[in-house]
Amino acid sequence: MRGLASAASAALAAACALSLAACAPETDAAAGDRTLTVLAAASLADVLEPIAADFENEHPGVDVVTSYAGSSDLAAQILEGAPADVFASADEANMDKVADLVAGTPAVFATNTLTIVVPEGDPMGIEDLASFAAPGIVSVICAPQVPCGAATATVAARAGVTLSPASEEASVTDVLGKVASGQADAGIVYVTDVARAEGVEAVPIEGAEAVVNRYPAAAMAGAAEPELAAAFVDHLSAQAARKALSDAGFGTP
Amino acid sequence: MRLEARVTVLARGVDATVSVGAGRTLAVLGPNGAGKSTVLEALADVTRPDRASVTLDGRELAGPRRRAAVPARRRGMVLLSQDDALFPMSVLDNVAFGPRSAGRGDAIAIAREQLARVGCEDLAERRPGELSGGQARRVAIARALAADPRVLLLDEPFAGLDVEAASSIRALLRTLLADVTTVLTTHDALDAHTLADDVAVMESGRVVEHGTAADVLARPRTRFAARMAGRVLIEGTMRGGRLALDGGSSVPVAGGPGAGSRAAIAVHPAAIPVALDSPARAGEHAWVMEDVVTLEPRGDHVRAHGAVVSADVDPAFAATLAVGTRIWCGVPRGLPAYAL
Amino acid sequence: MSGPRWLVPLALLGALLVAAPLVGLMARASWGELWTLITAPESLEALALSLRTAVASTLLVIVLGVPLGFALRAVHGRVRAGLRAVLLAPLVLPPVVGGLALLYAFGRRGLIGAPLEDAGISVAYTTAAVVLAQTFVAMPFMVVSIESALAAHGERREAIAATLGASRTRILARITLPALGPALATGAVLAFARALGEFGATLTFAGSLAGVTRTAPLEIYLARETDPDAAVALSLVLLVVAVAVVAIAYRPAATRGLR
Repeated sequence: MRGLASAASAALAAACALSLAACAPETDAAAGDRTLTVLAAASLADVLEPIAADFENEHPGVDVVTSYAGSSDLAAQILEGAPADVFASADEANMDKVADLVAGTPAVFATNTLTIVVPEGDPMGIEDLASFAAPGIVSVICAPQVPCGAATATVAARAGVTLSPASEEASVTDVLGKVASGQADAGIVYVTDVARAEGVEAVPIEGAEAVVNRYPAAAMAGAAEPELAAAFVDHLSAQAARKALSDAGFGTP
Repeated sequence: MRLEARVTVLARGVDATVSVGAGRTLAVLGPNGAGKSTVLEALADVTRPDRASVTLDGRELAGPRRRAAVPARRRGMVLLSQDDALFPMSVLDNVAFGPRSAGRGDAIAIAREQLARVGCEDLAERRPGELSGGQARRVAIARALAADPRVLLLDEPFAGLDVEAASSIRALLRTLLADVTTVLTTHDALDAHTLADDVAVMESGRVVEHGTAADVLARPRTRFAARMAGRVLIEGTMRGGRLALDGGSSVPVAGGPGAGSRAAIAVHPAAIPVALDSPARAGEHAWVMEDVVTLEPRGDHVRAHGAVVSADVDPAFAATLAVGTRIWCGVPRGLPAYAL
Repeated sequence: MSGPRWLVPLALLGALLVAAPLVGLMARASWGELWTLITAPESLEALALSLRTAVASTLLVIVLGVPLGFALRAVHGRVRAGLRAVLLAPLVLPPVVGGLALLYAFGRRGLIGAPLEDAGISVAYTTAAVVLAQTFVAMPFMVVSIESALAAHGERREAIAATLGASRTRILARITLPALGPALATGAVLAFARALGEFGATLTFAGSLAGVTRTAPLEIYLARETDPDAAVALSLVLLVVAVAVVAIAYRPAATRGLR
C-alpha cells in the first residue's frame, strides 16, 4: 500500500484545485511576485480593503491577500499551521492564544465599543439597557463565550442591568441578523456592525465607552518576509489607516 | 345467491359478462393473460372497473342505478388469490380475520372449525412462513370460508402447487364448494370438469362461450373453446348422416342438425391416429387427407395441425413431418355432431 | 461482486477521506478528562435538551411522516413526482436555507408565525422551535422509508383483507403497519439521528439559549470558542450515536420484514 499515501496527497491536491481559496491564499498572477497574507477579524472586512490597497501602492510589487473570519477561528487556523504573515484580531484574548507564534509585540490599532441595535425606526421604543427588561421585548445578545458576549456581560454588569435574552448567539453577525429580520426587538452589537448593516439603527449605551474592545495586530514569526509583515502592522497605525478606521466607526488608540 | 355481472377494465382489455346460479360453481377457463384474474378482482372491487354492472341475488352492487359501487368489504365476495397472501399473524388469526372484521365474538371458534374442515387444525399456532405451499393454500381456503362468503372467488386455486398437493386440494374443494356460490379461474380443462357446474371460456378479455360445463366442454362452438376444453373442433356441413368437412372429405356422425346446417364434432386429439400413407378403408376411423400447416410442440407430444383436423403424434413420428407433409388423419366414426 | 482492480485504490482513498476526520476527532480528544467534560453542567444540559427535542421530533415525524408516505403512494404521475420533490427537499437543502425558510414561515414576522404571535402564541426562541426545525429536516427520512416500503409491499394482502370484510382502519392496523414495521423503525432511527445532529436550521430559526434552545451541536459550536476540549468531547458523544444509529438502521435484518 505504498501508493496509498501518494494517491491520498494527489486527491487532496485535486480537492485543492477545485476549491483554491480553501487551501491556500488566492494569488493573482498579474500582480506582484511578493505576497503578504493577512488574516483579519471579520469585523474588519470592509475597512481593511482600502488600507491594504494603500499599502500595495506604497510597496510596488507586493500583493496583499486578506482572509476574514471570526478571530477565534483564525487563531485556531494559525495554531493548526495555516500560512499567515499578519494576524489582526478583534480581541486580545485570541491574540494571546497565538502569542508563541508572534514576532515582536502585538500593536493595538483600533478599538470598538458596544451599542444597542434596533430595527430601523425603533418600533418598540428601546431607549437604554433597562428597556431590555420590559415585558414583551425580545432581545438577543452574544453568548458570554465569545468576545462580544463577554463585553456585553461587562457592560450590563456596570449598568446594573440583568439581561434576559431570548437567545445567546455565537456570533455578532447572528445577533445583527435576528434584529434586521425582525425576529428580535433589540440586540447588542459593535458600533461598527451597525454602521455596516442595513435596516437597523443604533441606540447608544450609556457608559459603553468604558468597555473597549481592542484590536491588536502582529507580524507572525513564520512570515516569509518579516520586515514586510512588520511594515504592514505599522501601516495599520499610520495616519491614512486611522482615518479609514475612524470613518468606519472604529475608535483609534 | 345468483350472481350476474358485466365488468370492463379498459387498461387490461377486459370486457366480460358472467353469471352463476346460487350454490353453483362457475369456472372461468382461459389461457394466461386472457384476463381471468382481472374479472375476479373487478367482481370483488379490488380492481376498480371502468364500467361494471354487478347484481347479487337481485341486489345491484354496482351499475347504472347506483351512484357509488358497494365497496369490496361490504360485497360479501371473498377473493382467494394465487399467492395465498396470508397475513403476518398466526394461522388461527388469519382464519379468524374475516369473522373478527364482522365483529363476531365467536371468531376463534369459527376459525378452528374451518381449519378442521381443511385438515389444518394442528397448524393453528404456526406463522405463514412455516407452512408448505399446500398447507398455505388450505389455510387461505379456510380463511375465505370463515368469512362466510356470499360468493367465493378462487383465482387459479392450484397454481404453484406440486401435483400431489394440487390433487388433494382439488378433492377438498369438491366437497367444500358443494353449496357455496363460487367463481374460479383456471387454464386447465380438468379443473372445469371436476369442480364446475358452469364454464365461461375467456379469450383476450372477452367471454366467448358460456354455458353448463357439460355443454361447453363436450360441445365447444369455437376452435379456441375446443382447445381450452382439450379437444379439436372439426367443422363442416351436414349431409345426411355425414359431416362434410370444409376440405372435401366427409365423416359419418351421430345425430346433428338437418342437412345443409353448419355443425361440428369435438374430438380429443390423441384419439385421432395419423398415417403417412392412405390406410385401408376399413376400421372405426374415417381417414381425412391433410397437409401439415403447423407443428406445435406440447411437452411430451406434438400437435400436427391440418387445415380442418388436428391430431397429437409422438415426437419420434413428428420428426418425420414438416410443414406441407401429406398426412392421413383418422377421425372416429359415429361421434355426436351438434349445430354451430 | 468485485469490480476491476483499479477500483481498489479509489475505494481505499474514499474510505480514508471518510474515516480520517473521524479518527482525527478521536486523536484530538483528551481522553483522561472525557467523562468530566461530558458531565459538565453545560454539556449535560445541552445533551439532555438534544435528547428531549430529538425524541419529540421523532414522534412528530412518525405521526406526520407515515401518513405522508401513504399520501405519496396515493397520488400518481407528475403529482407524485412534484409532491415527492417538495417533501424530500429538506434532505438536500442547506440547513441554513431551511432555517431561513422556517423563519419566514414560523418566525415572529412569518407567514404563520405573525398571526400566531398576534394570538399570543410565540414559537421563536422556544424549545418548540427546535422541535419544529428538527422535524422539518428529519421528516424526509420517514417519508422516503415508508414510501419505498409501500412500493415494495404491494397491495395484494390489503385487497384480500378488504374482501374479507375488514375496514380500512383495520387493514392499516393489522396488515399494512405490521408489514411496515422495519421501514418505520429505520425511518424513525434515521430521523432521530438527523434531529439530534440538526444545527443550521436551529441556529437560524430557534436561537441559542442554554436549556431552552441550545442543543448539543449548538453547544459544540459555542464551546469551540473557549473550550475546544469540551467541544471535542461532546462531538465524540454525537459521533458514537451517529455510528450506532447507522449500524441499527442498516442492519441486515432491516429488510427481512419486507417480502
